[in-house]
Amino acid sequence: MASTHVSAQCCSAGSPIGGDGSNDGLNKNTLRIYTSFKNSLSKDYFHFDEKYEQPLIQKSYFDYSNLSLTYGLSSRFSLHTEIGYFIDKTQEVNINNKNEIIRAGGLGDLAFNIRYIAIKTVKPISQLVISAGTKAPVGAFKEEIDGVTIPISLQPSSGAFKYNASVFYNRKRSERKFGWNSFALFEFSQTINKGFLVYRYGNYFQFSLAGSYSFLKNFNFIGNAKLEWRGKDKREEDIKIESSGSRVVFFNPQLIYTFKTKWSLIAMSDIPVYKYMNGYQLTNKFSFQFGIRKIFSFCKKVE
Amino acid sequence: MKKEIAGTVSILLIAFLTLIFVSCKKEKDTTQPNPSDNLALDSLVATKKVIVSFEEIYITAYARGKNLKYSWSANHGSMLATDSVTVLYWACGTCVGHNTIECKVSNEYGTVSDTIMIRVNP
Repeated sequence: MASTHVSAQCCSAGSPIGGDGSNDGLNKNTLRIYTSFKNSLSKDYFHFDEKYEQPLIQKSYFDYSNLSLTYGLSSRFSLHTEIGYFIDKTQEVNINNKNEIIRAGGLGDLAFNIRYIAIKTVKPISQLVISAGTKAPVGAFKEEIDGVTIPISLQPSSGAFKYNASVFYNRKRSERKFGWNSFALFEFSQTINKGFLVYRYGNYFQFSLAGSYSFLKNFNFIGNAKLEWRGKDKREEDIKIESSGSRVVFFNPQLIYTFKTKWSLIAMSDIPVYKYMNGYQLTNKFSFQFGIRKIFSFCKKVE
Repeated sequence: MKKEIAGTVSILLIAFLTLIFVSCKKEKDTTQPNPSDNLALDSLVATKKVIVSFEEIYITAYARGKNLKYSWSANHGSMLATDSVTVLYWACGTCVGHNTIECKVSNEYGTVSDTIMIRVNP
């Protein structure tokens, strides 16, 4: 059932797009809780699709914990919300042959969206879900070290409201072990206008196509190919930032083990297989995530 | 004789007290502090004002006052404090343009601030 959109944004502000990757709608009065830990590493600078040696920035990484809740309001509508906390968001730089660390931590953005099940069939099991949502910059955006405000890219919150719309479709025959799903998301950002900072993140588009395979008794493997496209950021007077925006293709494997009690253990990773960066940018090397998911059903039993 | 001595002592005493009074008054006038000595930020000085991306420069704040607390921020670029009055500044490729660095200095008398603009070329 799960497609994923767990984006590793180590070198950009705000929370990673996350959750357990499930973009489906839920039945009425069903609650899904998911909590996870994520680690991400960005190391190599890229100029277009080639590695570029840049000795100042050594690496950038974060450890992030996430909590998401999805609740089925009716047979068609579900609400989803999630928030995360950066345990640390760090950049290591080489200054005069000495490694210096710039580190921040704190609450990220609060995401909220509503999902509408447009089509739902039982045979085969399928669902078409349309959703719309927002991210609010409720977290820390003025973190400082020794009286020096750290750069935007390391702030836990993005500092800007973001709005998104997405479509999710999945399909699986109940008698078969294979299934597939697809997910597309578009997100745009409001302009940050705080003091001397005028900044707007570029538009973001994601498309993913995944195949799932059930094996042994309770295992499910999902192989997901994901394309991320980011437009160029803008600063004051609508000046485009040439070293921003990218096209990255990820392979995103997931392994899910589900207990009979509706608890699930989830392990997933984001591995970039193709990177094209406008200008010169720090790129993600990999990320992995472990999580626990539980589904509660509050439906009244029919006697 | 005693009256003469007493008169002389009285005159000297009055003269001495007058001298002290006048001198104290004058001293009081001269100790009026210059308000800017309590808190002032005279300038921000950068080792270079036009740099290329990933080039490192130092920016120093020249301030006056006691118990000063420095607070630095930049709209684009990264900084590290090297000592209480100087920061190291650099900008990566995403920070190309005219960047504003602000320094706020504060103590019990209030807060003053100044900015410096650094141009970052690709």
